[in-house]
Amino acid sequence: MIDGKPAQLGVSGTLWKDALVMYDDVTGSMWSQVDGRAIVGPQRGARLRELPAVQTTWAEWVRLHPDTRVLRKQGAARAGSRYEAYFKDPGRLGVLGSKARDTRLPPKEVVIGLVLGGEARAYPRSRLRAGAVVNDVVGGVPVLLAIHPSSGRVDVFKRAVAGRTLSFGAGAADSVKVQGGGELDLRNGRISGGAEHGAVLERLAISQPFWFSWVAFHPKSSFWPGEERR
Amino acid sequence: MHPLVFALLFLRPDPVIEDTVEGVPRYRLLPRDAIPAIRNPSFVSAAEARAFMRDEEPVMGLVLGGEVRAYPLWLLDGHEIVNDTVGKVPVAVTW
Repeated sequence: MIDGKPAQLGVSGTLWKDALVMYDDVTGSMWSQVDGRAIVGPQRGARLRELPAVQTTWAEWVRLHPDTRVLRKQGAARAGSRYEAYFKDPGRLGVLGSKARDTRLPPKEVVIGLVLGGEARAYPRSRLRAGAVVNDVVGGVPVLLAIHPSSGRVDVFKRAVAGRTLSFGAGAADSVKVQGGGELDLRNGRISGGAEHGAVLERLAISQPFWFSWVAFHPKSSFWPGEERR
Repeated sequence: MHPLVFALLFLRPDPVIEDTVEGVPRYRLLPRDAIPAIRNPSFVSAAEARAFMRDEEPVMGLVLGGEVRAYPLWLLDGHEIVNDTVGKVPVAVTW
């Protein structure tokens, strides 16, 4: 929704910080894809609300949600990603060939990026083993990251219920254990058993960009593990 | 990814500066809509999708307002944006 109307976004053909810039057909403003913020035009400074989508494989998604609808492939559908060579090239940063400025991590390292409570935080994928369960705090908000043991799918939730902070440990493949009793279903955020039975945790929006792109948008980003936070 | 962007990765042109925001140039690489966003998406059931989806292919999955949608990323490579309405909420899925 932009300016009170449902807008459609299009590809502007421009890049800012080597990332997609979109335009909206209501105000003509330019929106940066990485943080959903309008950078040019009448909406400058406004933000689009980020929704918590899940990135995974088709096989896993349909297993988790057999009732899913699927966007029909139209036009020239390809098998495989056209970006494969780009993804694999550690020296190529973006279409325009950015320079790596922040070398705390290798530029093409994939990070899980989370912005919450005014803090930007990056979780390097290479440091998160399959099956990892991370209890962390970002911008004062307690969060849970769970990496699926076989697919590597990432699920991130706010780990608080009515002001009570919960902690988690490894469980079965699609669930994690609530410390103190109970299980969290990673598919839908629902807790069964234990003191918080029936509660549903809020899924958080994340991105999985390359480090060089993340830090261009969030130069003050912290990164995990850093100092432990409870 | 759209073939035009794919070509750009190899050509590495000197791009035109459209404007500068917060000290960072915004570069024009292509005309507006050279990469066509999807504006009228149509959806099929999981059973029908099995005909064109591979197990290992990446998707973006969204659950919103009681609806469940999957957006194949190999398709989004060529469009970058899908405009959709999910559970009555107007959304843009971007890749």
